[in-house]
Amino acid sequence: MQGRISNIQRFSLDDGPGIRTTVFFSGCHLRCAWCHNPECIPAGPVLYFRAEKCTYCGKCQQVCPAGVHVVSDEEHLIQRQYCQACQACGACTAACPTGALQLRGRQIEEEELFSELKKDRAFYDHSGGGVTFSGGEPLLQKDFLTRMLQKCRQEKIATAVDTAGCVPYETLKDVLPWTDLFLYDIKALSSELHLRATGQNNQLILENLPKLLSDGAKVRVRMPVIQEYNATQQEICALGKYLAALPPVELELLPYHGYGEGKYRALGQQMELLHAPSEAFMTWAKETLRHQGIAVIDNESVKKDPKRKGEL
Amino acid sequence: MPADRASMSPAIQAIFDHRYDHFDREEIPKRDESFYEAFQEHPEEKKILQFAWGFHRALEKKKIWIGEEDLLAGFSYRYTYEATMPIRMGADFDPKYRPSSSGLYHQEADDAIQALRLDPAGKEGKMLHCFADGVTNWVYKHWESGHILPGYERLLYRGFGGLQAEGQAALATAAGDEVDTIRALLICNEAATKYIKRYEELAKTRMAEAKPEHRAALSRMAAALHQIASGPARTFFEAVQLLWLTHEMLFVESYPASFSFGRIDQYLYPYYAADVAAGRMTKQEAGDIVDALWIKFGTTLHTYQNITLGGYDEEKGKTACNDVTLLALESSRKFAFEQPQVCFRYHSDLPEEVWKACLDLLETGTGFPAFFGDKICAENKMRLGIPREDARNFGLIGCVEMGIPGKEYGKTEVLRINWASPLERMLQCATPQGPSFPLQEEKDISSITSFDRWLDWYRQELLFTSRIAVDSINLLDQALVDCYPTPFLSVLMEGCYAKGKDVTAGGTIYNQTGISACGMANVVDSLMAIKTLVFDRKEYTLEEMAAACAADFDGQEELLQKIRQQCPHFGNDEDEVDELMAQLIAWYADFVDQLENPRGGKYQLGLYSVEDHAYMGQHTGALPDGKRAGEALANGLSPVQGRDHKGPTAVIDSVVKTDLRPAANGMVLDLKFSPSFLEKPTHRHAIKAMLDTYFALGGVELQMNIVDRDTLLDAQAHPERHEDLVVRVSGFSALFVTLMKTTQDEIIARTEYGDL
Repeated sequence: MQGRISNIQRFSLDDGPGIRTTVFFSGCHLRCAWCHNPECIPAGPVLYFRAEKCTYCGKCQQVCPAGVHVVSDEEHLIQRQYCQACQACGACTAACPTGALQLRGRQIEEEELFSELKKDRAFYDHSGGGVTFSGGEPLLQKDFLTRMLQKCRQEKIATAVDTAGCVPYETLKDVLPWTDLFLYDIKALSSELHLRATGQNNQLILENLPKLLSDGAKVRVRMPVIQEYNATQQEICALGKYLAALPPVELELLPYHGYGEGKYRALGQQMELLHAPSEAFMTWAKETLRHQGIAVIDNESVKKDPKRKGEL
Repeated sequence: MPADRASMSPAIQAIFDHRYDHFDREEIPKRDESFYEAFQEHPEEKKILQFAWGFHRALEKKKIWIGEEDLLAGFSYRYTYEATMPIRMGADFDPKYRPSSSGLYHQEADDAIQALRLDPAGKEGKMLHCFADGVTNWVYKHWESGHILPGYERLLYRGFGGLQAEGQAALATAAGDEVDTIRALLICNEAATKYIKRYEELAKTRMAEAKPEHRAALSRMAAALHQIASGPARTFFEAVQLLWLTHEMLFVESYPASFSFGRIDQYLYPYYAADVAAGRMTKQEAGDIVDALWIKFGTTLHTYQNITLGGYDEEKGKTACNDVTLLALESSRKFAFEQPQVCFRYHSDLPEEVWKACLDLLETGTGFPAFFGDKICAENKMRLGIPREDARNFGLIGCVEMGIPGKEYGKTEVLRINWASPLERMLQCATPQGPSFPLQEEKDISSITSFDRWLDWYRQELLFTSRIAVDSINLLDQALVDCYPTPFLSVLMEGCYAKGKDVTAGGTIYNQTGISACGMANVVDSLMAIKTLVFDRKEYTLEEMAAACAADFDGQEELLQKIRQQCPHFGNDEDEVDELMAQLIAWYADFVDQLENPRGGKYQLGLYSVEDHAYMGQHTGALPDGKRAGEALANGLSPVQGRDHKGPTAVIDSVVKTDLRPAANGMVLDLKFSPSFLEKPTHRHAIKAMLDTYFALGGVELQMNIVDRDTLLDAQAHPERHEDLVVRVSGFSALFVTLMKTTQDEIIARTEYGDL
């Protein structure tokens, strides 16, 4: 069986416990304004251009059947206005000698993927880590995902599925027996805000989580916190209220980061200018949620001991 | 990172602030003058006695100093000479002349030819000069440095008086040459006692003049000096004091670049525990004593003063870490000095507070501690026939070399082989100038039709290159054996009194020779590039590859990019290239296993490079792995800088495919992390799991640079702003601004792992 993935990242430390290998699946039906994996949104291959590696050799221009590349001595334009014309045929990426042009979102055989996932098994064992299937939305490739989860289970590799939960419950239920941990994203409680921020309604997401919990899944809820969208008292309180009514579940708040910026550039897209909430807001949010009995995971930077002010 | 003055006690702050006050460059040449005078006064004596009198005189005349605020007595210089073996002694003795540190390699060859009565035009005579050419051109690195773990621990328990009694007993039954050797050792032994007594007198004088608040410390100092002049140490303070003064005296005798301390937390702990239990000392007071010692380390400017901490106690079935381990880690964090170099014997189930102290030290960015697999390092020494009991007590010497304290003279830095050089010379066969250093066989490279043949030829030439060096080193070892005896060091080494032999002549128990390799990753990456582009894909011929290297890839951007992007590189957990590395090292280790030296010892393989990967890289042209002329080679067994792109677990997986058990002379794997990386608790936990995994998989050493690229670039541009920036090079740490540019560039080019 084949699946479509964008990337495999080893030594991944922020997608579940321990040292992990994260597989980024291609394809997502949400359009979150703050997405830091925009190359995972398309369900098919996408042309990815890292300008800093380009030597302007022009080989891509010679082989492109659609005239997407225009290369001069010191400039490489990718005619994004014609990007409908780019079929992601891969001719340019094969010709590119520097790796500046790549296709993201390749088909991969289950065996090939699994052999990559097994490589860091000793690190998983020593750290309590494992494999995380992320994306994109991995549940959009449910059959392939299930296959990979089953293989991991067979080899006793712990798994996590990082999902937005915006799928019919049956889909979640099908992978549940093979999944050790769900990283379950909730982006907003207000349906209006959710629609504006992600292009999708949150009803399914909010309905699925209680079912998943009552079916015995181990879940870690994650909420990205973005100044311009959901960093409001209203949202945090609503989240607390929502979670407090459910069986106990751990929660991780993820302040916004702009690491995806280079990816947007590589895709020829603009990234919306967004910000992380203030530290004070994050502290307040955590305290508030804890007051409501929510187990908020603490993974903030270790604060330097103030008495250790260096001087020579 | 600047020192954390705020966490020093007021007493330590005072010492810290005045630490450079009495540094006096004019004192430095006086050591050589003393030796010179002694040689003139004893013209008829044997060399070892001349040296003993030289040492005696130098200690008598050496400036000593105790500041009013000092807790510990001691005052040391970095002397200007570097190696241990000036050859031509006697009437024409030139104290400034030192071979193999000042580029006088041909002189050294001539001296050896004379000493061994070889025919200069004969096979061995020619070989010695060929070797000297190779050293001059960085085919080899040859450094006649002792690099040793003196028997500090034994000294603490016996005192100089106890050692002297041992010498006198040996003298009673000695015969022939042994008599003079033992006499020489006894002269040094006594000189040490006298030297400590000089300090005792000075301490008393200081005490009489001192302000009331300083008198207690000076009184303790004077009493301790009185005791340790010939008696054993009885308290923690006496032990530290004896340790330091002995260290200081060793540097007066010779400068082998590294006098390392071994397991300082282990041999000091019994004193610590007894003092604390008896209420003689608080933990805070012990901390100040350790701090005072650290300031001495950091102020002398001696290089490679390596200390070993941690380890696992097999007998007790638990960690050997103790309060002194923690105090040492904390002192290193506080000062963030380049010295002492901190090595940590890592084992799983480390106590949480010890791991936290290690992380806090790592965060200074000094590259300390470097981590060593507690079990495998001992096993590597056992492979050489060293009994378990001794092997389990290993300490680290210099950079990363495992040695047995007080029992091993390992010459760990005497020879390093540039692995890239034979490959470069094979390609040079296709150029009009031909190879820059002899090959066993020059070939028309167009006649080579398969990768296996190319690889066989490379092995043949690497062996040929290595044999020239090993045979030369063994001749030099015989020729120079009594040229620069070190009788005082011999006093401290087990076996020398008993055998009546100087340590340089094989007087101690274990007498190895180090042979280290450099540029391994460049070689396997280059071989893979040749295999891929020339033999598999047939896109280039060997001549084209040779021409591209000769032209330093000028106008060959496409080839360069294909090499970098499309050929396998060591460090990405790709089996073919990693297994090539494993095979080459296993095959080379078999060769090293067969080698013996004339001192009754074996050769031991090292896979670390000090700073030589930069020097050797500077003198190595472009290589098929995409290295440009003048760029550094890979650091130790680390991947080529910037060629690994799958993160640290992939690097580790690559490295541990090689059987590292033969690496009894040490190895280096360097990983670089951005400073923000260590801030998250999950990341701190992951680093520990990473170390657990690495050592469980057979790793020997792992070191981490916690520094970001911008800081390093800024330090290159504005050295004056970063005078205290310490970074890990290869197996040692150094002030970044003092490193040569090639080395700085090499560190900047290493792949940095950050928040992904």
